[in-house]
Amino acid sequence: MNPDPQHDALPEELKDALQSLGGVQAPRELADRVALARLGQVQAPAELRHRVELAAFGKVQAPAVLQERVAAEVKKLTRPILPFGVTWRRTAAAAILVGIGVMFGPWSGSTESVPNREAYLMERDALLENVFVIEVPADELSEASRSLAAGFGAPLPMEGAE
Amino acid sequence: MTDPDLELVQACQTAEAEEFERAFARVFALYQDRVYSICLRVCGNQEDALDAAQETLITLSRRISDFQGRSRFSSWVYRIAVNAAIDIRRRRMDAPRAGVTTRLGEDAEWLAETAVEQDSNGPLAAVERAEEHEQVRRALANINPRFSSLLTLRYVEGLSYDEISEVLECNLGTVKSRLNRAHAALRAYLERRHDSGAA
Repeated sequence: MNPDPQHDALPEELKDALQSLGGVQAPRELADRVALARLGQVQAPAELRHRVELAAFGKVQAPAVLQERVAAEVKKLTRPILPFGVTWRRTAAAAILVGIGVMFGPWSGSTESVPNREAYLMERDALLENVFVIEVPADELSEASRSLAAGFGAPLPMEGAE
Repeated sequence: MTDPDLELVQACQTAEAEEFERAFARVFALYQDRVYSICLRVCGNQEDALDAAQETLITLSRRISDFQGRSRFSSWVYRIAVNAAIDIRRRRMDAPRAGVTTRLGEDAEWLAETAVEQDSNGPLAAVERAEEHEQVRRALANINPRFSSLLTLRYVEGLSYDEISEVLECNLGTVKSRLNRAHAALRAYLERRHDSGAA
């Protein structure tokens, strides 16, 4: 150690005070804590893998085969979670179709105000040919679909109404 | 540069299972006090120092096989300890804990007792000295942890500039300029404390 006086510009008493902070002994607790924490670091023996393979697949598999199967299982387990379930998606699609039906249906009062009604009806029919419509009975719709359809203006009987 | 710990490290790197445990026990015995001392001075209290020292020694046991001898082993250990202590101190700054003051008090008592035992100029001088040391200890625990780790390595652990540059992985010029800033930070903290005490 070769101290550089220019950079050791700390008063001697401060250096002494700093040096006096040395010589600390680690408490016994440290060794115990490290020993305990290191218990979790034990490497699993190869036998563990074989036992898991036996339990999962009925036989010890070649690593490549195992990898494929594990990857497939993992893919299944980690598939993206859709914001709507399948039922919800179907319901939502049906509700949209109902909505379209409501907009272009014969109960649409707004068509009365169109000046050229015949031209309007022709255009509407031409458009309807391009629309795939599924009719869904109102009582088969879920509560959410009914609300959506009602929002589009469909005259649906509300639940509990006579 | 011959590393005095090379044989010990190689024993850990080539050993398996129980042999590794025996070899690592020697590393642990050699470094636990030094690691704890650095962590204690940077963290400023025993509980955090224990956490940081534990983290350091566990990292050491996990990664000793990766040590490639680019620096001295001791520098590598100090680097891990300094980083662990700085991390813990930063985490604690985000979420201060209750109960730390008790441990500070215990440390102060220990310092006072040690000073009284060591001072031949009588009990009053010993108390004054203990108080001064306590101020310095508090300063280390409160200034920027990078500065406190630098001051600890230089003065508490007695490392040379070369060794410090190896620990911090920077050149000698940087070590010297950082040390100057650390001195200034320490003095500024002590002056502030002195002024607020006098006021």
